[in-house]
Amino acid sequence: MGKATIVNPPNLLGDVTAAPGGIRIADALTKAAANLEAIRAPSLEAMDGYIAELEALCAEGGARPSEAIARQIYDLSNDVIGVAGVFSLNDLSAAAFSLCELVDRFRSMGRWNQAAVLVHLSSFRLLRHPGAEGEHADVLDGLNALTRQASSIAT
Amino acid sequence: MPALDPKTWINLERVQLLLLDDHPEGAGILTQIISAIGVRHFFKCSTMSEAQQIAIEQEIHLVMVNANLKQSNAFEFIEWLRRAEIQPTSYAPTIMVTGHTQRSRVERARDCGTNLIIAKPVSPISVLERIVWVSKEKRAYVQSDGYVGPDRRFRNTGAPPGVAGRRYDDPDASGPEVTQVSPAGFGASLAQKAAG
Repeated sequence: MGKATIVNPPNLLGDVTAAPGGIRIADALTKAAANLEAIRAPSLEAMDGYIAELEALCAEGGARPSEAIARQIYDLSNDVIGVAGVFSLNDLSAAAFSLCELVDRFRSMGRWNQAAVLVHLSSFRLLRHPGAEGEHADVLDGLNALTRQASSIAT
Repeated sequence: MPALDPKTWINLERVQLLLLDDHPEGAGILTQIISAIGVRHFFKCSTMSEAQQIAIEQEIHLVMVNANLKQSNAFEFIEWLRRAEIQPTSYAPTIMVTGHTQRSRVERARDCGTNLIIAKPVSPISVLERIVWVSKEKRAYVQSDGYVGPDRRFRNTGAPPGVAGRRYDDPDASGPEVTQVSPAGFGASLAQKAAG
Protein backbone atom coordinates (compact mmCIF):
# COMPACT_ATOMS: atom_id res chain seq x y z
CA MET A 1 0.00 0.00 0.00
CA GLY A 2 1.33 3.48 -0.93
CA LYS A 3 1.80 6.36 1.46
CA ALA A 4 -1.10 8.65 2.37
CA THR A 5 -0.63 12.35 3.02
CA ILE A 6 -3.01 14.24 5.28
CA VAL A 7 -3.56 17.93 4.58
CA ASN A 8 -5.74 20.47 6.35
CA PRO A 9 -6.69 23.05 3.73
CA PRO A 10 -8.65 26.14 4.80
CA ASN A 11 -12.37 25.91 4.12
CA LEU A 12 -12.78 28.91 1.83
CA LEU A 13 -16.54 28.41 1.71
CA GLY A 14 -16.59 29.00 5.46
CA ASP A 15 -14.43 32.11 5.03
CA VAL A 16 -16.56 33.74 2.32
CA THR A 17 -19.82 33.02 4.14
CA ALA A 18 -18.58 34.47 7.42
CA ALA A 19 -19.17 38.10 6.42
CA PRO A 20 -22.16 39.81 8.03
CA GLY A 21 -25.25 40.57 5.92
CA GLY A 22 -26.94 38.30 3.45
CA ILE A 23 -30.46 37.03 3.96
CA ARG A 24 -32.49 35.68 6.87
CA ILE A 25 -32.97 31.92 6.54
CA ALA A 26 -36.76 32.23 6.78
CA ASP A 27 -36.76 34.79 3.96
CA ALA A 28 -34.43 32.66 1.83
CA LEU A 29 -36.77 29.67 2.18
CA THR A 30 -39.84 31.76 1.34
CA LYS A 31 -38.12 33.15 -1.73
CA ALA A 32 -36.99 29.68 -2.82
CA ALA A 33 -40.54 28.35 -2.48
CA ALA A 34 -41.80 31.23 -4.66
CA ASN A 35 -39.07 30.60 -7.25
CA LEU A 36 -39.99 26.91 -7.42
CA GLU A 37 -43.68 27.73 -7.73
CA ALA A 38 -42.83 29.83 -10.77
CA ILE A 39 -41.37 26.81 -12.58
CA ARG A 40 -43.97 24.28 -11.39
CA ALA A 41 -46.05 24.16 -14.60
CA PRO A 42 -43.20 23.78 -17.11
CA SER A 43 -41.39 21.28 -14.85
CA LEU A 44 -44.47 19.08 -14.48
CA GLU A 45 -45.13 19.33 -18.19
CA ALA A 46 -41.59 18.09 -18.86
CA MET A 47 -42.11 15.30 -16.32
CA ASP A 48 -45.30 14.20 -18.08
CA GLY A 49 -43.19 14.01 -21.23
CA TYR A 50 -40.75 11.69 -19.42
CA ILE A 51 -43.62 9.42 -18.37
CA ALA A 52 -44.96 9.25 -21.94
CA GLU A 53 -41.45 8.48 -23.17
CA LEU A 54 -41.10 5.74 -20.54
CA GLU A 55 -44.30 4.11 -21.74
CA ALA A 56 -43.13 4.26 -25.36
CA LEU A 57 -39.73 2.77 -24.45
CA CYS A 58 -41.32 -0.04 -22.47
CA ALA A 59 -43.54 -0.91 -25.44
CA GLU A 60 -40.62 -0.69 -27.86
CA GLY A 61 -38.37 -2.84 -25.68
CA GLY A 62 -40.96 -5.57 -25.20
CA ALA A 63 -40.00 -8.65 -23.20
CA ARG A 64 -36.28 -8.36 -23.90
CA PRO A 65 -35.22 -4.70 -24.25
CA SER A 66 -31.73 -3.76 -25.37
CA GLU A 67 -29.29 -2.43 -22.76
CA ALA A 68 -29.66 1.03 -24.34
CA ILE A 69 -33.45 1.00 -23.82
CA ALA A 70 -33.14 -0.38 -20.28
CA ARG A 71 -30.69 2.41 -19.47
CA GLN A 72 -33.03 5.06 -20.92
CA ILE A 73 -35.87 3.69 -18.79
CA TYR A 74 -33.62 3.91 -15.73
CA ASP A 75 -32.47 7.46 -16.54
CA LEU A 76 -35.96 8.80 -17.24
CA SER A 77 -37.34 7.25 -14.08
CA ASN A 78 -34.49 8.91 -12.19
CA ASP A 79 -35.58 12.24 -13.71
CA VAL A 80 -39.13 11.64 -12.45
CA ILE A 81 -37.79 11.13 -8.87
CA GLY A 82 -36.20 14.57 -8.89
CA VAL A 83 -39.06 16.56 -10.36
CA ALA A 84 -42.10 14.87 -8.76
CA GLY A 85 -40.89 15.17 -5.18
CA VAL A 86 -40.05 18.86 -5.48
CA PHE A 87 -43.66 19.58 -6.42
CA SER A 88 -45.27 17.54 -3.62
CA LEU A 89 -45.87 14.40 -5.69
CA ASN A 90 -43.99 12.34 -3.12
CA ASP A 91 -45.77 9.06 -3.87
CA LEU A 92 -44.92 9.38 -7.55
CA SER A 93 -41.32 10.11 -6.61
CA ALA A 94 -41.25 6.97 -4.43
CA ALA A 95 -42.76 4.86 -7.24
CA ALA A 96 -40.12 6.17 -9.64
CA PHE A 97 -37.42 5.25 -7.10
CA SER A 98 -38.87 1.74 -6.96
CA LEU A 99 -38.76 1.48 -10.77
CA CYS A 100 -35.12 2.62 -10.81
CA GLU A 101 -34.28 -0.03 -8.22
CA LEU A 102 -36.16 -2.71 -10.20
CA VAL A 103 -34.50 -1.80 -13.51
CA ASP A 104 -31.09 -1.61 -11.84
CA ARG A 105 -31.55 -5.14 -10.52
CA PHE A 106 -32.79 -6.44 -13.87
CA ARG A 107 -29.84 -4.86 -15.68
CA SER A 108 -27.33 -6.32 -13.26
CA MET A 109 -28.86 -9.80 -13.80
CA GLY A 110 -29.19 -9.40 -17.57
CA ARG A 111 -32.86 -10.32 -17.24
CA TRP A 112 -36.21 -8.51 -17.43
CA ASN A 113 -39.90 -8.66 -16.56
CA GLN A 114 -41.97 -6.34 -18.69
CA ALA A 115 -45.11 -6.80 -16.58
CA ALA A 116 -43.34 -5.53 -13.47
CA VAL A 117 -42.15 -2.45 -15.34
CA LEU A 118 -45.62 -1.85 -16.81
CA VAL A 119 -47.18 -2.06 -13.34
CA HIS A 120 -44.86 0.69 -12.18
CA LEU A 121 -45.73 2.85 -15.18
CA SER A 122 -49.47 2.32 -14.57
CA SER A 123 -48.94 3.48 -11.02
CA PHE A 124 -47.22 6.64 -12.30
CA ARG A 125 -50.50 7.63 -13.98
CA LEU A 126 -52.43 6.98 -10.76
CA LEU A 127 -49.93 8.81 -8.55
CA ARG A 128 -49.54 11.76 -10.91
CA HIS A 129 -52.46 13.37 -9.11
CA PRO A 130 -51.81 13.80 -5.39
CA GLY A 131 -54.10 11.95 -3.01
CA ALA A 132 -54.66 12.26 0.71
CA GLU A 133 -51.77 11.42 3.02
CA GLY A 134 -51.29 7.64 3.05
CA GLU A 135 -53.98 7.05 0.41
CA HIS A 136 -51.53 5.36 -1.91
CA ALA A 137 -49.59 3.47 0.74
CA ASP A 138 -50.83 0.10 -0.51
CA VAL A 139 -49.79 0.92 -4.08
CA LEU A 140 -46.28 1.82 -2.94
CA ASP A 141 -46.09 -1.28 -0.72
CA GLY A 142 -47.03 -3.41 -3.72
CA LEU A 143 -44.42 -1.79 -5.96
CA ASN A 144 -41.70 -2.17 -3.35
CA ALA A 145 -42.67 -5.82 -2.83
CA LEU A 146 -42.36 -6.44 -6.58
CA THR A 147 -38.95 -4.81 -6.66
CA ARG A 148 -37.71 -6.96 -3.79
CA GLN A 149 -38.68 -10.01 -5.78
CA ALA A 150 -36.79 -8.89 -8.89
CA SER A 151 -34.59 -11.96 -8.98
CA SER A 152 -37.49 -14.38 -8.78
CA ILE A 153 -39.74 -12.66 -11.34
CA ALA A 154 -37.10 -11.81 -13.96
CA THR A 155 -36.76 -14.13 -16.92
CA MET B 1 -27.41 17.51 10.98
CA PRO B 2 -28.74 20.27 13.29
CA ALA B 3 -31.81 22.18 12.08
CA LEU B 4 -31.26 25.76 10.97
CA ASP B 5 -32.74 28.58 13.00
CA PRO B 6 -35.05 30.50 10.61
CA LYS B 7 -34.18 33.76 12.35
CA THR B 8 -30.46 33.53 11.65
CA TRP B 9 -28.79 35.11 8.64
CA ILE B 10 -26.71 33.51 5.94
CA ASN B 11 -24.45 35.33 3.55
CA LEU B 12 -23.70 33.49 0.31
CA GLU B 13 -23.22 36.65 -1.79
CA ARG B 14 -19.48 36.09 -2.25
CA VAL B 15 -19.71 32.37 -2.90
CA GLN B 16 -18.57 31.18 -6.33
CA LEU B 17 -20.51 28.01 -7.04
CA LEU B 18 -20.00 25.53 -9.87
CA LEU B 19 -23.07 23.51 -10.83
CA LEU B 20 -22.62 20.52 -13.18
CA ASP B 21 -25.95 19.11 -14.33
CA ASP B 22 -27.08 18.13 -17.82
CA HIS B 23 -30.73 17.51 -16.90
CA PRO B 24 -32.62 20.74 -17.72
CA GLU B 25 -35.36 20.31 -15.10
CA GLY B 26 -32.98 19.23 -12.32
CA ALA B 27 -30.60 22.08 -13.09
CA GLY B 28 -33.52 24.51 -13.23
CA ILE B 29 -34.76 23.43 -9.80
CA LEU B 30 -31.32 23.78 -8.24
CA THR B 31 -30.78 27.15 -9.90
CA GLN B 32 -34.02 28.51 -8.47
CA ILE B 33 -33.06 27.34 -4.97
CA ILE B 34 -29.46 28.54 -5.17
CA SER B 35 -30.38 32.01 -6.39
CA ALA B 36 -33.11 32.38 -3.75
CA ILE B 37 -30.75 31.60 -0.90
CA GLY B 38 -28.42 34.37 -1.96
CA VAL B 39 -25.76 32.88 -4.26
CA ARG B 40 -24.93 35.55 -6.83
CA HIS B 41 -22.05 33.97 -8.71
CA PHE B 42 -22.71 30.54 -10.11
CA PHE B 43 -21.39 28.78 -13.16
CA LYS B 44 -23.83 26.36 -14.75
CA CYS B 45 -22.15 23.65 -16.78
CA SER B 46 -23.70 20.79 -18.67
CA THR B 47 -20.53 18.92 -19.64
CA MET B 48 -17.48 17.75 -17.74
CA SER B 49 -15.11 19.63 -20.05
CA GLU B 50 -17.00 22.90 -19.45
CA ALA B 51 -16.84 22.30 -15.69
CA GLN B 52 -13.12 21.50 -15.88
CA GLN B 53 -12.49 24.75 -17.73
CA ILE B 54 -14.37 26.76 -15.09
CA ALA B 55 -12.54 24.97 -12.27
CA ILE B 56 -9.22 25.88 -13.87
CA GLU B 57 -10.12 29.52 -14.58
CA GLN B 58 -12.16 30.51 -11.51
CA GLU B 59 -11.74 30.30 -7.75
CA ILE B 60 -14.59 28.00 -6.81
CA HIS B 61 -15.84 27.74 -3.21
CA LEU B 62 -18.55 25.11 -3.65
CA VAL B 63 -19.29 22.45 -6.27
CA MET B 64 -22.67 20.80 -6.82
CA VAL B 65 -22.88 17.86 -9.23
CA ASN B 66 -25.75 15.69 -10.40
CA ALA B 67 -24.60 12.11 -9.80
CA ASN B 68 -26.58 10.80 -12.76
CA LEU B 69 -25.24 12.85 -15.65
CA LYS B 70 -26.33 11.69 -19.07
CA GLN B 71 -23.31 12.65 -21.14
CA SER B 72 -20.51 12.85 -18.55
CA ASN B 73 -19.47 10.94 -15.46
CA ALA B 74 -19.96 12.84 -12.19
CA PHE B 75 -17.57 10.60 -10.25
CA GLU B 76 -14.82 11.09 -12.82
CA PHE B 77 -15.26 14.85 -12.58
CA ILE B 78 -14.87 14.89 -8.79
CA GLU B 79 -11.90 12.52 -8.97
CA TRP B 80 -10.32 14.79 -11.58
CA LEU B 81 -11.00 17.89 -9.45
CA ARG B 82 -9.39 16.34 -6.37
CA ARG B 83 -6.27 15.25 -8.26
CA ALA B 84 -5.93 18.33 -10.49
CA GLU B 85 -4.02 20.29 -7.81
CA ILE B 86 -5.76 23.56 -8.68
CA GLN B 87 -5.34 25.80 -5.64
CA PRO B 88 -7.70 26.30 -3.86
CA THR B 89 -10.50 24.83 -6.02
CA SER B 90 -9.34 21.20 -5.74
CA TYR B 91 -10.21 21.41 -2.01
CA ALA B 92 -13.62 23.01 -2.55
CA PRO B 93 -16.44 21.21 -0.76
CA THR B 94 -18.50 19.14 -3.19
CA ILE B 95 -22.12 18.13 -2.85
CA MET B 96 -23.43 15.36 -5.06
CA VAL B 97 -27.15 15.33 -5.80
CA THR B 98 -28.56 11.92 -6.55
CA GLY B 99 -31.89 10.29 -7.21
CA HIS B 100 -31.34 6.55 -7.40
CA THR B 101 -27.75 5.32 -7.48
CA GLN B 102 -26.99 2.08 -9.26
CA ARG B 103 -25.75 -0.57 -6.86
CA SER B 104 -22.64 -1.00 -8.98
CA ARG B 105 -21.82 2.67 -8.44
CA VAL B 106 -22.54 3.15 -4.72
CA GLU B 107 -18.93 2.38 -3.78
CA ARG B 108 -17.65 4.72 -6.49
CA ALA B 109 -19.90 7.49 -5.15
CA ARG B 110 -18.36 7.02 -1.69
CA ASP B 111 -14.81 6.85 -2.99
CA CYS B 112 -14.73 9.63 -5.59
CA GLY B 113 -13.91 12.32 -3.01
CA THR B 114 -17.20 14.09 -2.53
CA ASN B 115 -18.01 15.69 0.83
CA LEU B 116 -21.73 15.06 0.96
CA ILE B 117 -24.59 13.50 -0.95
CA ILE B 118 -28.11 14.97 -1.10
CA ALA B 119 -30.92 12.62 -2.06
CA LYS B 120 -33.49 13.86 -4.56
CA PRO B 121 -36.04 15.25 -4.39
CA VAL B 122 -34.19 18.28 -3.09
CA SER B 123 -35.88 21.00 -1.09
CA PRO B 124 -34.69 24.52 -0.29
CA ILE B 125 -34.10 23.56 3.34
CA SER B 126 -32.15 20.39 2.47
CA VAL B 127 -29.87 22.34 0.11
CA LEU B 128 -29.36 25.17 2.60
CA GLU B 129 -28.65 22.82 5.50
CA ARG B 130 -26.02 20.94 3.50
CA ILE B 131 -24.33 24.13 2.32
CA VAL B 132 -24.14 25.41 5.89
CA TRP B 133 -22.85 22.02 7.04
CA VAL B 134 -20.02 21.83 4.48
CA SER B 135 -19.12 25.47 5.13
CA LYS B 136 -18.37 24.52 8.74
CA GLU B 137 -16.66 21.24 7.97
CA LYS B 138 -13.11 20.81 9.22
CA ARG B 139 -12.37 17.36 7.82
CA ALA B 140 -8.79 16.76 6.76
CA TYR B 141 -8.03 15.75 3.17
CA VAL B 142 -6.34 12.49 2.36
CA GLN B 143 -4.04 12.21 -0.64
CA SER B 144 -3.00 8.69 -1.60
CA ASP B 145 -2.58 6.61 -4.74
CA GLY B 146 -6.07 5.19 -4.44
CA TYR B 147 -8.02 8.11 -3.01
CA VAL B 148 -7.91 11.89 -2.83
CA GLY B 149 -10.58 13.73 -0.89
CA PRO B 150 -12.05 14.39 2.53
CA ASP B 151 -11.23 11.82 5.18
CA ARG B 152 -13.78 9.01 4.85
CA ARG B 153 -13.54 7.98 8.50
CA PHE B 154 -16.96 9.46 8.96
CA ARG B 155 -19.70 7.65 10.80
CA ASN B 156 -22.70 6.50 8.73
CA THR B 157 -25.72 6.88 10.97
CA GLY B 158 -28.24 6.13 8.24
CA ALA B 159 -30.87 8.52 6.94
CA PRO B 160 -31.19 11.96 8.65
CA PRO B 161 -33.46 12.11 11.72
CA GLY B 162 -37.12 11.97 10.76
CA VAL B 163 -36.37 10.70 7.25
CA ALA B 164 -36.98 7.06 6.32
CA GLY B 165 -34.31 5.33 4.24
CA ARG B 166 -35.69 4.56 0.79
CA ARG B 167 -34.03 1.20 0.31
CA TYR B 168 -35.32 -1.55 2.54
CA ASP B 169 -31.75 -2.45 3.45
CA ASP B 170 -30.77 1.15 4.39
CA PRO B 171 -29.31 1.44 7.90
CA ASP B 172 -32.12 1.64 10.45
CA ALA B 173 -34.77 1.11 7.76
CA SER B 174 -37.71 -0.68 9.27
CA GLY B 175 -39.50 -1.72 6.11
CA PRO B 176 -42.26 -4.30 6.06
CA GLU B 177 -41.56 -8.00 5.68
CA VAL B 178 -41.11 -9.13 2.10
CA THR B 179 -44.40 -10.36 0.73
CA GLN B 180 -44.80 -12.30 -2.46
CA VAL B 181 -46.67 -10.31 -5.10
CA SER B 182 -46.88 -11.23 -8.76
CA PRO B 183 -46.74 -8.38 -11.30
CA ALA B 184 -49.94 -9.60 -12.94
CA GLY B 185 -51.88 -9.80 -9.68
CA PHE B 186 -50.63 -6.45 -8.52
CA GLY B 187 -51.35 -4.87 -11.91
CA ALA B 188 -54.97 -6.06 -11.69
CA SER B 189 -55.44 -4.56 -8.23
CA LEU B 190 -53.86 -1.32 -9.44
CA ALA B 191 -56.21 -1.18 -12.43
CA GLN B 192 -59.17 -1.69 -10.08
CA LYS B 193 -57.92 1.12 -7.87
CA ALA B 194 -57.47 3.47 -10.82
CA ALA B 195 -60.96 2.62 -12.10
CA GLY B 196 -62.62 2.96 -8.72
